[in-house]
Parts: sequence; structure tokens; C-alpha cells
Amino acid sequence: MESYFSRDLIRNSFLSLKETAAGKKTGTECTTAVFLFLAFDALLKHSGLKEPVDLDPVEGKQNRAYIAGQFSCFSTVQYDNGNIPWQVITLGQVCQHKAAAEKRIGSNFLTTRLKLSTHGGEVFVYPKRPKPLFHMGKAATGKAWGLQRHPDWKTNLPELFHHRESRTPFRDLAIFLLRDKPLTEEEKLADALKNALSGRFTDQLCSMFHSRITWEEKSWPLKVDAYQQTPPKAFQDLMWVCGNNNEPNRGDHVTKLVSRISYLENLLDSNNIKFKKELLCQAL
Amino acid sequence: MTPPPFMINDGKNEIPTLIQRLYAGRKLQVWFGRARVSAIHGWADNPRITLVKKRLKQTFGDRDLTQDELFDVMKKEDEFKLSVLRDDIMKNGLRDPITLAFSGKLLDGNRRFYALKYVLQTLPPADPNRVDFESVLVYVLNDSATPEEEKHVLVEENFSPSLKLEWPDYIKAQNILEEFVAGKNEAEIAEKYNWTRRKVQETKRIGEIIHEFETLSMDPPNAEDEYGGGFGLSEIETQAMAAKNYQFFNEAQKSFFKELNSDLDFKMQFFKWIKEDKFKSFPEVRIAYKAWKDPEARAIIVKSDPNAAKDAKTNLEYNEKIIQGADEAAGRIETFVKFLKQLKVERVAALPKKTITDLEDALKLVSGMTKAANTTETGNERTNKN
Repeated sequence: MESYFSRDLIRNSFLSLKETAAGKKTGTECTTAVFLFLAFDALLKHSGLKEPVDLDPVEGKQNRAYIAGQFSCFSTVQYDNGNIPWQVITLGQVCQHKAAAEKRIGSNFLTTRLKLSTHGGEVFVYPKRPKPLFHMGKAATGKAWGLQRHPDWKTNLPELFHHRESRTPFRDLAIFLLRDKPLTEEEKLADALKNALSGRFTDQLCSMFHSRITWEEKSWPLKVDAYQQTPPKAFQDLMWVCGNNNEPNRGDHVTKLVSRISYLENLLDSNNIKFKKELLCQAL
Repeated sequence: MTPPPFMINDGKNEIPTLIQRLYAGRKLQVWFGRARVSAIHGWADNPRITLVKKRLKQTFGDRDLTQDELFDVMKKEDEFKLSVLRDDIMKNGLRDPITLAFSGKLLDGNRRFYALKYVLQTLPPADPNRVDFESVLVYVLNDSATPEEEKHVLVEENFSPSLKLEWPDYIKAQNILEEFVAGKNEAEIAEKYNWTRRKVQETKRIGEIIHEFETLSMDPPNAEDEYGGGFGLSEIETQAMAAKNYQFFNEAQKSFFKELNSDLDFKMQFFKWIKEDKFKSFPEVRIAYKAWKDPEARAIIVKSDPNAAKDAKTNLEYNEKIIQGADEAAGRIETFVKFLKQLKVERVAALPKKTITDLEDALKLVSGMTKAANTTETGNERTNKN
């Protein structure tokens, strides 16, 4: 019989992924990088492609579209009947954003960042802080529009959750990714999560998640019921995550600002102009 | 016998009582009851404030401080932590009575007395709680007490160590973590325990490391588990080990908390090292992550040798040392070449492929650099001749 993660579990897990005060500067950037990494991994699983993957705007058009679609799937939580979609710009929070997630990742990463890495002979990494998850560019991948996972992604990925409130970020993230997805109940939650994730992600990623979640599960057991029999629709209403201080348009401004800062940083980088990144970050 | 005039005596509810108390084995008669705070004077000759008074003489000149000046000194000087005690009294009342001589001289509780004055200064005149702080429980030596007995009490109350022990750090960390798990935030906990937010944050981090250590320690061994399961120790054994190593966990929190959470393999290994009593000092704990990431130091620290951590630390320090001159570099290379030549075929065959590739790459690099240097030298010589 098919089950689902319980609504309480999904909501608690999502809220616990909220950034701490120290994580406010990099929360948006880290969330984008994590979703992008997961989308790229999903592409590897779906297509069976070997790394590096060509994301050339013409040759790799399908790959780009798949990544953008997956990214949107992770970050869009409610379509609001065809109106402005509700999206996760930084984990633990939702906001309305005029630009669809596909467009956001298209302009922020697939165009701006990736395009910059096609010039010059150096090794490009993404994200630059706190730790990289990708290698890009010809020097690193052998292809101008090449993208591949960073050799240290397994130890770098956890660093992107360092400034989150959660003590169990991998369990919480996996539960969020599998919101509203039917699954098979297992004695150990880590096994249920691994089985459900294995349909969408590579064995390497699933195995890494399984190790982490197994340990998180032992150390910090769940305090709410894990399963329910009906679709939880955890994000159908959003009062629990927005409260009364809902600022529908804030996300729009933040993303525009992030996009602009990203663009300016890359411009400075590509012209070898040194600058203090912290100062730009503080704007967020 | 008559109680001292500064004690409250309304003949009904508040009547001083003469009782016998023990002070370091000596039985003395004391009056027990309440006194108005306004009737008590701070102790200007208290040794606790001697140093501050000496410093203040430059401003006040060589004279006794007035009661108001003393009060100001106690409030302003950080070392007395008067505002901390004031806040505690406002929350919990005065925990212990103060002790006075029959003349009204304060023998014990000078800081508490000034903190009480501070409470009264802080509360608005109309505050209904003021009445609770306007009088204080006191012990007053009977007028039959000799100056020598006064001194005896003074010494006993101020110099003998308090038998009230603070909770061990381990218990405090557990408590703080429980507060967080119950949903309290950093600011609320800091206020409740009168700690700084930084201290709360650090204690929480130590508590989290210890909690995970305990999880592994009490988990039974399991061959099917990726890490071989836990240590299979009892709760009591585990807690004793965690409490004993508290300061090492603190060092880990300070030196590699982020890494501990990012690198699960290292976390498991670090917990095993703690169980094996691998570390003998804080510097040895401090290098644990560096040793884990350095192939040579890692090979040393994982050995069962009791000095393994110390040796790994020495190795790291040696390798981190900047080679100053050509002689030192040549010496180190010679030692390494000697080591290579001693290797037997079977040991080379057992080396990981990556190690061999790294060695080949390094040799190619050095060879290339040597050729480039020779070409530059020859070119320079030609230029000089021309």
C-alpha cells in the first residue's frame, strides 16, 4: 500500500532548514547551488550521460531544459492557479516570485555563470562559497560549456547546510524533495528515503544521502509520525510558513538583487579586478 | 539579652531570635531575623575591594570612601559583577542571609548587600515588589562576642571554600541542548541562565557533539553497518566517558566543528579516537582534522601506539615548517631518497596507484623545473659573455 510522508513531518523538516542569523548572507546562493546540484544529478540519472555534460546552448539544449525543469520542480511549491508561483528562494522560506524558476536558473546560472566559464583557460567552480559543487569551463572539463561535479562534492555539499538551524539537514532536505510523492514505508526512515530517492538520483548521491540520513536518524530520532495514507499537500496553504508577515514581492526584489550582484561579481572576476565579496553580500 | 537596634522588631511577626550557630567548630550565639537595608552600612575595609581602592586614591586622594562612593565603585567595576548578582536577586531573592557584628559591621555579604541596594535603585518607587527587598535576613553576633570571635567568623565566611559545587560542564551542556530541543532560542536561554549568547552557542555546539558521541557509544556493534556500528557501551559508561572528555569536545568545537559536521567519516573516527583515549592534550585534539586530511599524519595517528596523536602532531609541524635555505631542502630530499631506496619491491607493489602517480608527477615536475633553470642559467651566461 502506498504511503506518503506526513504533513507535519514535511512542514517541520522544511521549517528546520531555515538559515540561522549567520547564514543570512549566503542562504539564497546556497539554496540555488543545492537545487542546481540535485537537478544536475537528476539529469545524469535520467539520461545516463557521463560527466562532463555539455550544456552548449545548441548542442546541449535538451540537457539545459531538463536541468531547468528539475530545478523548478524542487523550488516551486505552489502554482497559485496560474498566477505568480510560490517558490523556495532560500530553504525554510517561501515567497511569490514573478519569474518562473526555470527562467531564474536560466538567466542566473545557465547563461551568466556558465557563459563566463567558456572564456579563458582557468578552472571555474560553482558556487564559490562556502565550498564548490561543480567544475565548469574548458580547462576543468575539456568542453567550453562543460559541467561536472566537483571531485570533493561529497564533503563540500554538507558545508552548504552549515548555517541552517537543522541538525538533520539531509533527512530534512530529502523529505522536502519527496513532498507529495508516494513511497513505501520502511522500518528505517533512511531506507524509505533512499528507495524513494533512487528513482530520481544517481546511486552515488543516494548512497551519500543514505549514510548521512542513517546517522542523523540514530542521533536525532523523529518526534512526529512519519507517514500518512493520503497525499499530504503540505504546501496547499502557506500560513504555517508565511505567517501574517507575508511579503509577496520581497522574493522578486531579492532575486533581482542576487542576480545583479552575481552578474557584477562575475564581471569583476572575468576582468581580474579584485574586490571584497563580503561588501556585496551584505546587500542581501 | 537585647537584639541590636538595627534589627526589625515589631513584637509580632518580626522578632529577632537568639540561636546558636557553628563557625568552624566554634559555637557562637547569634541573633537571627531581619534588618532594614537602609540601616546597614557597607564594609569599606573589605579586602575584596582593596586593590580598586588603591587605584581610586589617585582620584579621591588618601581618604576613606563614602558609602555612596563605595556603592558607585561596586557598580562600575566589572570584577564585582554587581549587575549580574542584582538580576539574580530580582529573580530569586537573596539566597543566603548576610552576617554582621553587633556593632553593625558587615562580616559577610558585602557584595550581596550592595547588589540589594542596586535592586532598590533599579525598581521604581511605586513597584509593589520593592517591599520584598527593603529588608534582609541577617545573622548578627551577640554583643558578648569578642573581637577575636568576630575575626574568626570573618575568616570562616570569606576564606573557606563554598561547599556548594557548580554542576559539571557536561551536565550544563546537556541542559542547554535540552532547552534548544524544547524550542527555546539562543536569546531566551542566555537570559534564563544569565550567560552571554556566545557562551550559549558554544555550549550548544559542545552538547551536540557529545550527544552524537553518546549515540555512537551506546549503539551496538553491527558488522553490516557502514561504520561497523557503535561501541556497545552502557549509558553509565558512555556518560562517564563523555564527562571525562568534556574539554576535548570543547576543543573540537573550537577547532573543527564545521568539518566534524561535513565529514561523516572523520566524525566517526574522531569519536573512536576519543574512546581509545588517543589524545593526551588539547594541542593533540586541535590537529585531529589536519592529521585526518594529511595522508602521512593520518597513517601515524591511526596506529594503536599510545603516542600516535603526539607523533602525528610532530609530523605535521615538521612538514609545515617553511624550508628556509637550499641546504635544508637538499637535506630533506636526501632523507626522502634514502627512504625510497630502502623500499622493498613488495612494499612498492602494495602502495596505492594514486601514490605512485603522485610520485611520478612530482618527479616530472622537479625534472622540468631543473631543465628550465639550466636553460635560464645558460642563457644568462651567454648574455654575460656578450
